[in-house]
Amino acid sequence: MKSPRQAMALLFANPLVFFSAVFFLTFLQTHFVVKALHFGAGVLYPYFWLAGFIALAFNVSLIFTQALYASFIEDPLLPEAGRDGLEEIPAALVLCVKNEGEAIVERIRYSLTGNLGPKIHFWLLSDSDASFVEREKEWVKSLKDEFGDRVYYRWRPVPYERKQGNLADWFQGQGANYKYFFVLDADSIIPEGTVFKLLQKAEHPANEDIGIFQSAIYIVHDHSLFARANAIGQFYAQRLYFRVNQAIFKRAISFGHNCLIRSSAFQRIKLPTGILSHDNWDTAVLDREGYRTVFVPDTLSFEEAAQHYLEERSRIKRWMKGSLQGWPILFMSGISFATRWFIFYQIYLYLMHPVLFLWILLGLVCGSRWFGMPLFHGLPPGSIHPLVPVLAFTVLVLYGHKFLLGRTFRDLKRIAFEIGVSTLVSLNNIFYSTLDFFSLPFERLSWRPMAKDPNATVSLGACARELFGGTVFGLTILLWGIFYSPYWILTGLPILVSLILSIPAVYITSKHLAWSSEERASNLIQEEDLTPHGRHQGNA
Amino acid sequence: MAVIKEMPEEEMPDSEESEEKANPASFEEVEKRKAKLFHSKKESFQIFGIRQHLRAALIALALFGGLATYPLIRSVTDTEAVVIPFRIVDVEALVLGEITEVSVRGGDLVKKGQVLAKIADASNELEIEKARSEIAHAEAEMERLNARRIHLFERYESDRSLSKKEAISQDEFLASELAFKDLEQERKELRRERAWLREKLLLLESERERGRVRATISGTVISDVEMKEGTFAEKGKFILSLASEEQRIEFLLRQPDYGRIEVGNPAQVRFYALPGRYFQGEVVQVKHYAESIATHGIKTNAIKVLIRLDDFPQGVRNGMFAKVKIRGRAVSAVDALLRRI
Repeated sequence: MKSPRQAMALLFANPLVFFSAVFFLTFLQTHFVVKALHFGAGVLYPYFWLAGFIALAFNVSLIFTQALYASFIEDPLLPEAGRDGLEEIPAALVLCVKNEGEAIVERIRYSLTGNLGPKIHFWLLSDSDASFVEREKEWVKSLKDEFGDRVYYRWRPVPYERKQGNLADWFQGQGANYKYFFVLDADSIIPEGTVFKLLQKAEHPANEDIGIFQSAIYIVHDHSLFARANAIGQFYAQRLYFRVNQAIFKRAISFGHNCLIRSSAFQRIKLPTGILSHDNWDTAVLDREGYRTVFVPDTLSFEEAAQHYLEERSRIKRWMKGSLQGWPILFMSGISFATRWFIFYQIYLYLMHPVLFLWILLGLVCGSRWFGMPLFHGLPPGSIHPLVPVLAFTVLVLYGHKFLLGRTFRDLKRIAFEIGVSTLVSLNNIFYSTLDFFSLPFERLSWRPMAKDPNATVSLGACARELFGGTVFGLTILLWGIFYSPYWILTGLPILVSLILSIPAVYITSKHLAWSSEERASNLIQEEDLTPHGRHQGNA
Repeated sequence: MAVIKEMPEEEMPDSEESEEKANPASFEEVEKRKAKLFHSKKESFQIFGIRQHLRAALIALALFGGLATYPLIRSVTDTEAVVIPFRIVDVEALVLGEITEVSVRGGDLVKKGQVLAKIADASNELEIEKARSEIAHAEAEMERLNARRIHLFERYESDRSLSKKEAISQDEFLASELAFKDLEQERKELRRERAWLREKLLLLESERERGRVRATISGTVISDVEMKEGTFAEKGKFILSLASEEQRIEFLLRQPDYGRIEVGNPAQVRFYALPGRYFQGEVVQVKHYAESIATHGIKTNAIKVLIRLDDFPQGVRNGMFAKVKIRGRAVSAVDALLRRI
């Protein structure tokens, strides 16, 4: 006998029901806005404004629906095989590196502890410059001393096709002997037992059609306010979006690292050359071959986040390049609707930055006294403007949806903190990601490795140099708004504040927190408590 | 395809060996290996079916674009069309006087000629009474004269026969004749006066008749006339409005659609009061001037269009709303969108 909650989850965990709710909410918001808009003969700008609104309202509706779902949907847990004989399964932990610093050794050491077995090996696949090889060999030697002959090294003097080339090359040779391999990133930190947990899932006969088991990834070494907010944001994002997506679509998208890949699936895929972001292509091509990629919410792995907004911006630009380059996947034959939707949504999110930016500018200019033609109808006396409920809904969803996941007062405090920092700092993305987006056609499609330094800081001068443009822009539109469009300032206030205060805000949020690094060093229990999920999860 | 199998202990890869195996000696070898492991972009577009889907999407997009710019939209729709009477007639006072009686109310159906109200002039009534009394007096006088005439005529005839027999003198006969002729003269004058009085009465009664406000057409009273009872009316003063029984549908044509509609275009009408029923008609008039209207607080100009229905349904009242759809000149979706006010 199913409980009412289980019955509801079963009914609603259906893409058709889910998208019906999303489209209905989008329609409802659009309906109110159409009533408010003034369509003049022969003018296009109200239609542009409306198109921008619909595109954005879709995301608001999606977030709202996902948040609602997250409050009742059941955890999409995969069945597991028994623990016996897991260590005898030929598997590998694979780390592709290119010119990494010494700090990586500690991460590797942590990750290998409790995750290796007699037939579970570690491979360091290097694409580094020749000058790094000796140093890397020394790392391997020290790791061999500690973990035995289960540690291997392979160097490509002539690297090609970045990480995916490195992996494919290895898989073509020694990698083919492994039944599974777990892909690490340079900043990956894998707690003891995670790999075994994933192997248990992979070995269960019901999961034979799964090609990639994507572990949940949380952020550690969140030394700065910004990284701390990112860590909290990522924790709740995975609790919310990825968990709900997995429950509804029964599949997910690969992150490209901290995931276990089934070799029999991997051997069947052949990626195109020149791609920057292989994870989307892996998911799509595996899907085409009949294998699912799943998100495993009951596993635990870690990575490091950018410690300040300037680093985050360069990462976003890199991911944007990779995701937008994956547009052909949308037209790929033989892939599931869910995969196509995930790819579309990634591209959509990046496209939304310029759309949101231009939409805001259009609203500012066309809604101003300077423009002459009204964008909206006048407010009839004693009535509520149709835009008011839409605006209220949008603000409530954007700022309030994560609170639905809060279970304790501490959760609520953490979410409020994350929202505060996001509003103050991350809203700058609307301006800077738009600039980055429009600069893409003038740039070479290259892939610069990300700086992975948990102790990175940024000077006030660097902040001023990098964020001067946004500050000036924010002040300019504030002045314009005061003179010509005072109502707009009310709605655009969060973005204005974010742009105008970006230099001090980015600088302050990049500062390292004393309570973070020092207390962690002295108290292991507290370190566990300071992980983004807020409680010790052990072997998950 | 590599075969996945469990790896025996003795087959464990050697780190140094693997390094040698994995490192291609030359760039040529690298290119070969790359070609073996990866599709070229061109190949991948073909193999993954991207090219075909992309082509289909582009064709769909072109078709959509073509449809959007092709003149497919023929109808002009208005959801706030109003039922109006074909004619509205204002009934005015023809005489000066007090409105003594109003026999209809707003919304009443009336026939042509029906008395709607009465306007009474007191001095006219007195004149009529006086004229009637004078006529009665003249009639009575005429009766008396007629009776006397019989007597005088008999006397005259008797005196004439007696005079012939010379039973009476000539003077006596002449006196009798003179008396008769005087009477005749008196009667003649009285008849003239009576005729004049009758004519005067007719005139006075006609004046009184003009005080009866009658329906000039068959139709509906569309003004609140009952409030006017007891008030004073001057000649030419508005009393009430009558709407003709024949009805039309009127709607406001937005200026951008002006060129699309002309007299004779077929129209389909649905009254909100009669859901599910559709009525056919045609455009009978497109006004040649625009009128100012306000929609949701925005002022604009629009042109009135009248539609006549082939068979107007019973029970539809003037002022009711209807949805009209007129087949006019076709425009494209893009054109229609940009024409919207």
